[in-house]
Amino acid sequence: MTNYILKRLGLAVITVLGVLLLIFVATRMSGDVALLMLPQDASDEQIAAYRARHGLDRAIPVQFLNFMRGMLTLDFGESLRYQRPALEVILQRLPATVELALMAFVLALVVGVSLGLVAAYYRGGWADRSIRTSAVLLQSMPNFWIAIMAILLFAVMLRWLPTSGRDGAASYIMPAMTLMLFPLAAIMRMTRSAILETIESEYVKFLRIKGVSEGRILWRHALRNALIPVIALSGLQLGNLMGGTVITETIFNWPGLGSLMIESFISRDYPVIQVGVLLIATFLILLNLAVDLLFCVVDPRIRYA
Amino acid sequence: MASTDMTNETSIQAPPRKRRYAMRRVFEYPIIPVLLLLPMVVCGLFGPWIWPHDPTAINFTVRQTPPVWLEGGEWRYFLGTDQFGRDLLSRLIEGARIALIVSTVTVTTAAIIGTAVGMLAGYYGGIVDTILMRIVDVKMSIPPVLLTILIGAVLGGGLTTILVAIILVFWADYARVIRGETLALKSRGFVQLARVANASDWRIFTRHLLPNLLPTCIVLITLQFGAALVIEAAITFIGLGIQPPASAWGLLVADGRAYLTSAWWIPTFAGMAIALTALGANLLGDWLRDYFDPRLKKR
Amino acid sequence: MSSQEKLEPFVLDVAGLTVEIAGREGRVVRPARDLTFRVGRGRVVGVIGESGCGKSMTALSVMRLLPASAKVTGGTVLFNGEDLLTKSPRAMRAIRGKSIGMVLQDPSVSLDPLFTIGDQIDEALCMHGRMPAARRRARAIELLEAVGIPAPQDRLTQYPHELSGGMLQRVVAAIAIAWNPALLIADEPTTALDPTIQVQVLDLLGHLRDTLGVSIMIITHDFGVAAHICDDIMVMYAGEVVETGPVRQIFDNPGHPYTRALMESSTVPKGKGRLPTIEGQPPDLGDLPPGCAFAPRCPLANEQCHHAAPPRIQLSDIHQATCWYAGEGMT
Repeated sequence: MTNYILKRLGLAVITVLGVLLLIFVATRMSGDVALLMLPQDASDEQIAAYRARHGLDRAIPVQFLNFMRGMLTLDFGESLRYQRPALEVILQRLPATVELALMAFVLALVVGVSLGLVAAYYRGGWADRSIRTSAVLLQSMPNFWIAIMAILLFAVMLRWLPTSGRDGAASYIMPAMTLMLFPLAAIMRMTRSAILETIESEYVKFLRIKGVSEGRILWRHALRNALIPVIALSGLQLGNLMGGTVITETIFNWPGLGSLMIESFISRDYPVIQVGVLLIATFLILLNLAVDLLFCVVDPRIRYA
Repeated sequence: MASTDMTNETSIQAPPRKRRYAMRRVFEYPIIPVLLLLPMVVCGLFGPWIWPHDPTAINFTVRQTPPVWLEGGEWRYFLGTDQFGRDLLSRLIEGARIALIVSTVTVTTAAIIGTAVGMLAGYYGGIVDTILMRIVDVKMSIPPVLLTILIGAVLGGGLTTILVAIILVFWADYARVIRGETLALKSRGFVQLARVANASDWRIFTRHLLPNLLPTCIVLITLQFGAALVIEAAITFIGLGIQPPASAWGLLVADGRAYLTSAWWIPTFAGMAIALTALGANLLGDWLRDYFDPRLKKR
Repeated sequence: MSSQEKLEPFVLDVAGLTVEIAGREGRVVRPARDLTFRVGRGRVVGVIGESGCGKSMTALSVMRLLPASAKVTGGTVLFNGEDLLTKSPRAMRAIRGKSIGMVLQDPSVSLDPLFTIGDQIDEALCMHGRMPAARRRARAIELLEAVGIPAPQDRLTQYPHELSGGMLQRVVAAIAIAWNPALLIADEPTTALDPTIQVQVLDLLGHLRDTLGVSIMIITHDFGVAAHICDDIMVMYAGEVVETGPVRQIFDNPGHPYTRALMESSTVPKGKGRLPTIEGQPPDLGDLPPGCAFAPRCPLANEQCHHAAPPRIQLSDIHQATCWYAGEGMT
C-alpha cells in the first residue's frame, strides 16, 4: 500500500514536470520569448535587458533549467496588463471559479449518479430510454450553444434570471447548470453501465441465493461496486469541467479564472496564461492523485496489492 | 426481478410480430445517423454550387430579415439574414466546409499518429510505452480549451491553431486505446504463433495487428469526428479559432450572441447545425461499435 | 418445519417442468422440457450432461432465479411438499439461503470483492432471523470450521481476493449451509478448481451430507465426479431427462447410449488409444429433431429413432431410461 502511494506520488511529480516542459516548449515555439513576455511597445533596451536577465542567449538546456527554477520558486513574471505579479492576478480571480466549479461538480455527480441509477434500475423502460437519449443529445450539443439558448429563454424572453455577472444567488443558476452539463452525460452513462455490470455479476446472483433483498443488493452491493469506475471517471471529468469554465465564464461574464484566460489571450498577456495553465494542470494532477488514494480506501484489492 | 411469472403461461400463442421485425430492419442500417451527417458532407464539398447567395455579400437593405415562416420573412432568405444582410442559410453552408476540413484533417492525422504510437508502445512496451503513458498523463491534466489558449497565445489564433490543438488533444486518446487493444492482441494465439514462426515485426504489424485494430479505429474516428466538430466550434466561439469574415458555425453562434434580442435565429440555427451533425457522428459511432462488437449491444 | 420435513420422503419433487426462453425472430428455446425428477431426503443426486443441455437452467428454476429472458411455462416444483413456483417473491426469498442453499461454479467471482468474508457470512445470518452480533460471530466461526477452513477467526477480516479458489469455495459452502438447509444445490462446484482441490471440495460436500443430513443436487458434466459422491444420477440431454437411477445400477447397466458415451468419455481406457469423445454437438434447443433428440449422434439410431419419440422404459423399479433400445442390452 505504501508502495502504491509512493508510486502514484512519483507519477504525479513526473506529470507536473511534463506540464512544465510542455509550457517551456510552447513558449520557445514562438521564436522570441522576450517579445512574448514583454509588452508589444517595449523598447529595444527593455528587450535586450530581458534577454540578458533570463539568459535567452544561452543554450536551450540552460534556459530550461532557468525556467524551471523560476517556476519552482513561484516567480512567474509580471502580468503585462495589470503590471502586477501574474500569480497575484490569478489568485484574485480564483475564488469565483472554485465556487462555480465546485457547485457544478457536486451537481453533476449527484444528478449524474442518480439518473444513471434510475436508468439501470428501470432498464429498457421509458425512463431508461429517455435518460440515454438525453445523454447522447447532451454529448452532441455544444455547451456554449445551450448556454446561449438558456440566456435567450430565461433571461431575454422570460426575464427570470440575469443574463450575466456574479451578483446574488440567481446569477449562479445558469452558469452552474451550463457548467454541470460538461461532465454530466459521461457520469450518467458510466453509472448506468457499471450498475448493470454488477447486477449481472455472479456475486449478485449469489447474494440472491443467500436470500438478500433486491433493495439491499442495489444500495449496499451494486452501488458500492459501481461507484469505483464512476469515481475514476469523475476525476477525469473534472478536467473537462475546468476547461468548460473558460467557455461558461466568458458567456456569463463571470469574473473567474476562465474568463481571465480569454482576456489574457486577447491582450497577449502571456505570463498570466502560463501560470493559469500550470495552476489548473497541477490542480487536476493532485485531484487525480487524491482519486487514486481514495481507491485505497474503497477497494480492498488495491489496499493490499 | 428474475422471478418466474406464471401468469404468462397463457401467452404462448405468438402475437402478430411481422410488423415489429419490419421496424427493426430500419435500425439494422444506420439510416438516421447518415441522414444527419449527409447535409454537412454535401454542403462542405459542393457549397459554392448549392448556396442561394454569396455568403459574404453584404446588403444592408435586408439586414436582420427573420426566417420565412415569421412575419416579415422572405423566401429568398429562407433562414433569415444577419446584421449585415448576409443570407444565414448560405453562411451555414459555407460553415460546413470549415467544419468538414477541420474534422477530417484533425481526426485523420490523430488516427495515423495515434495508431502508430499506440501499436509501437503496446507491442514493444518498455521505454516507448513509459513515455507514451506519461504524455497521456500530461495531456489529461490540461483541458483542451486551455491547451488551445496556450498554443493560440504563441501561434496566434486561426485555422492552424485549431488544427494543432485538436490533433494534440486527440492523438493521445487514440494511442491510449490502441495501446490497450494491442496489448490484448499480443497475447492472443495468432500473434504468438506468428512470432514463433519468425515473422518480421513489420509483417506482424500489417498482417496481424492492423486488421484486428481496424474496427476500433473506425469507431474512434467516427466518434472523434463529432467531438472535433464541437471542439472546433467552441474554440472558434471564444475567439481563438476561425476569424471573421470567414464563416464557421462557432463564429455564427458567437456573432449571434450580440443580437440575441433582435436576431435570435442566427445562433439558434448555427447551433442546431453543429448539434445535429455531431449527433449524427455520435450515433454512427455507437452503431458501428455495436456492429463490430455485438456483445456490447445489450448495454 | 422439522415435523413437516419428516412427512415427505423426497425433499424435491419436480414434475413436468418446462422452461422457455424467447429467442430472436419469434424462436422459442426450451432448455428444460417436461422434466420430472426427485431428490430423496439425505441423498446426493447428480445431474449429468454436456454443457448447454439445460442443467443450470433447471437448478435456477428451482431457485426461481432464472434470467429475465427465461420463464417457467409449466410443471410443479414441490419442495417439502410445497410448490415453489406459486410462492410470492417474498416467500421465495425466505426460502432461498435458509431452506435451500446453492454453490456456484466459480468461487472467485461468487463473493462481493468489497466486503470481508466475515461480513458476507454475517449478511447471510442476518437475512433470516435475529441473532445478537456475538452469536452471529460465533456461528460464522463454527461454519468456517464445519467446512474445514483453518484459523477461522483470522479469515473473518480477510477479503475474497486474499483466499485461494478452494478456500473460497469452502466459504461459499459455509454460507450455503448457514441455516442448515434441507437442500443444497451445487452447480459445477469443482469445475473452476485445480484437480487436487476438486476432490477435497467433493469430499467436503459428502461430509456435509453425512453430518447435516442435507440433500445435495450436484450438477456436473463429469461422470467421475458423480461416481465419487452421488447416490442417484439423472442424465440430461437437450433439456430432457434421458436416464435416472441409483449410481450403481447406472454404472453396471447404462440404459441409454448417451449415458454410455458420457461414461466412456470420462474414464481413461486401459492401454493405449485415444480418450473416446462423443461425435457431434448437442442439438440446437430451438430446433430439435422430431424423434429422439440424441438420434443424430447415436451409433444405434435407426429410422424409428429419427421419427418417433422414444418411450420411457423401467429397467428396475428405480432405474429408467428414455430410449427405444433400453433394456435390450447394448453392444
